[in-house]
Amino acid sequence: MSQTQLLALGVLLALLAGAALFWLRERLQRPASLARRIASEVHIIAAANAGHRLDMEELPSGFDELAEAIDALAGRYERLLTSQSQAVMQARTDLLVEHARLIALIGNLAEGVLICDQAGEILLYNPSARALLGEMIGLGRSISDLRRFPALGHALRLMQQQPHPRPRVFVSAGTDGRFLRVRIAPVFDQGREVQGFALTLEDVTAQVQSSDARDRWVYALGRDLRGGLANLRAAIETLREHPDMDAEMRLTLEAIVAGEAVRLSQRMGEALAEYARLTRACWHLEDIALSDLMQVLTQRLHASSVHPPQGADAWVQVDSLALARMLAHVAARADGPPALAAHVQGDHVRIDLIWPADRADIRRLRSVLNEAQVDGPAPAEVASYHGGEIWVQRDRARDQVQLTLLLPRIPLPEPAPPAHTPIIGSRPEFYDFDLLFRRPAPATSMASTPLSRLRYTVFDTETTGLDPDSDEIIAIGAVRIVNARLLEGEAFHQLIRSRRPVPPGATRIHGIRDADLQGAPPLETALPAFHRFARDSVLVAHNVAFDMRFLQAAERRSNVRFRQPVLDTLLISAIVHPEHKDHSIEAIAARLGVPIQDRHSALGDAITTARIFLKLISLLELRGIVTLAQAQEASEQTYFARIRY
Amino acid sequence: MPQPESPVPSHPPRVLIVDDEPNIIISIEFLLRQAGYTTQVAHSGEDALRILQQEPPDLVVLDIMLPGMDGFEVCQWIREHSEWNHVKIMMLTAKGRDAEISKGFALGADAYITKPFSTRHFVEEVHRLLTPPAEDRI
Repeated sequence: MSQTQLLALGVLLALLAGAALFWLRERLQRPASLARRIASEVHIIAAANAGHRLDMEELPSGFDELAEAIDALAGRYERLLTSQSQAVMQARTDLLVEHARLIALIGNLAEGVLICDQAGEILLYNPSARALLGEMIGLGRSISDLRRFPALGHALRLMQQQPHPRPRVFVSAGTDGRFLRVRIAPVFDQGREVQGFALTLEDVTAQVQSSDARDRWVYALGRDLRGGLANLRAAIETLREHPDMDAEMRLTLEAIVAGEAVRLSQRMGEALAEYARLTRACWHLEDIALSDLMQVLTQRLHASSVHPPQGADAWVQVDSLALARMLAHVAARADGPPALAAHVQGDHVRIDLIWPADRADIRRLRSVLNEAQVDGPAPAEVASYHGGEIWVQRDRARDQVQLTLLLPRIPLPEPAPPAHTPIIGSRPEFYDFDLLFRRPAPATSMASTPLSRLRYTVFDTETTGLDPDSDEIIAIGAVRIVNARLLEGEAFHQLIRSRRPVPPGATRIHGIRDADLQGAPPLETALPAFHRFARDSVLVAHNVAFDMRFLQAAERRSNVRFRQPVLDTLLISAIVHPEHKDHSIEAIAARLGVPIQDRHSALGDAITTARIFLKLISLLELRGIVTLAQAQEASEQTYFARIRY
Repeated sequence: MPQPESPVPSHPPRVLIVDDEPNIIISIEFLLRQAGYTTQVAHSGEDALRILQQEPPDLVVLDIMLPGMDGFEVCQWIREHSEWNHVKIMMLTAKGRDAEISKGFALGADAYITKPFSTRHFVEEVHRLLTPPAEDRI
């Protein structure tokens, strides 16, 4: 054997030994790593996505059979879950129907309805309440935080201080110039303990303004009358006390008297017309078609016959209940039900209740017109606040007695726009009675509160670029999670006007152009709004460090600070799936079976992130990470936490 | 003040003024006498009915807000008696809303003047009511 051959053999042997060692190490280590990966995949199936399968590259013998067995088990588990949830849905159908009815009922009320717990946290509200109180209303928020109507928080505190509060009614002036009439009443449980408060809200801006307008009317009229009377009195007293004045002076003074008299007459005419308008505005009058009013009256008066109203598309502005009661009150003085007739007379609508002359005593009918009713004003007064008149008259030619009500006609109303946007989805999110029973943790113990009981604001920002020092936020999208429920109906979505143009490269990612930001508010107003939206919640975002650096750069300009705890879905994904390398939104969403919403729109990404986050909470629990403090600690320990963005 | 065309000289038309405001009665009476009419005054609805029954006038100038029976009721009362069909009724009142005016006409008033009013317009209206239609005059 030559030396060369020996050397070659030695090298070969060394290589073989190296390969053998490497193989041996792989043999020894691989099962452990494989087992961990399989365990992690099983966690996904068990806690987040029953449709997930162990789709792994070729496995060593034995492991492939294990994977198949797990997939088979996952298949059965998924079918079981499906049939179970179907059964649950079936059982809940009746309940859901009742819920739907309740929702439809309070959803369509013109009055705002809002129920809060003892501490003032909102458990239920309807779309009207939201429209009246503004955008910041949401489940789990406190009515003490309503910035537009601070009086609500004040009333709540008064109620809380009393052991047995009584319902209160008050008018609250909003910072936006509107006025709400608020009725706040305690809600008791069976043990007469106060459980919460029910509020009804009504916009009385028009009434308040009209009473304001009446004050101004009185003031202006008084001022004008005083002035006119002063001129008149001075002229007349001068005329009388100086009978020997010269003819020219006398003529001048007489002209003053005549002129002032005419002026006062005109002023009075204008004032009275104005007053009639103001008075009518403060009654609860609704626009109603004459034909509809006639239907109401026919039923209430049990009218014996009805002459179809002429000019059926005439409209009046009435309190139909008060009118019907008042007419019934007068009609009760006659013998038997009247016939009804209505017709249009110029600017008025005339409604006649007609009896044969022997069935109605004209004096008896007349006698009640000016007498107060037991539960209301006199019929003549009711007619008067409608801007109308009422009288009783004999029609000799027909041998009949008529009770006539004359009402002003109003122009045909515009067709009303649909009052509320329809509720999308099967489960509307403006009520959550769970909040009533699951007491929220006080802020001090937030860190030790289970993740599933905390409130979150899941958000995403779009920016002009990647450098927080020179680039700016141009969009914020956010949704809230309360009681492990995503409230998509209470989303925050705001474009923000930037000081620098949006580079084309950024536009290619998020599609936002300079033109889109023209009407948008600047950061100085948009960020405080987001700050209010995110109040008392944990901030969550994907790769949150990026967004936080932009937020911190923006804080200086807008005078708000984001001090709440922060969680990152990227880090949490790395905690629960350390064996996976891809923790992009797309990869996590695919793993956890979460649909992707509008990728690279701030709101769409926030919604996707929120859905991912809800699944990640369950996966964290499987790893024994239950509280916020634990989640924060685990986040810090992960590899990704060490990366500086 | 324009003089009305001569009423029948032997029997100047009689006007009954029903009002409880002495200060307006003074002016109205003066204006009507100047225009050649004879006048009578009632201070309440009940007064007015008594005078009507004794000696019905040609025209009643009727305020609405009266003590006791109001002007609308007096108007209705007159119109419910066919023997007073020829009596003209002029509402002269501070009640000036559209619905009140409509009610006045519905109850049988021939004219409706709201206070305050132009004295010239008032006399012209009285004259119009008391002048028979052209075809009746030969």
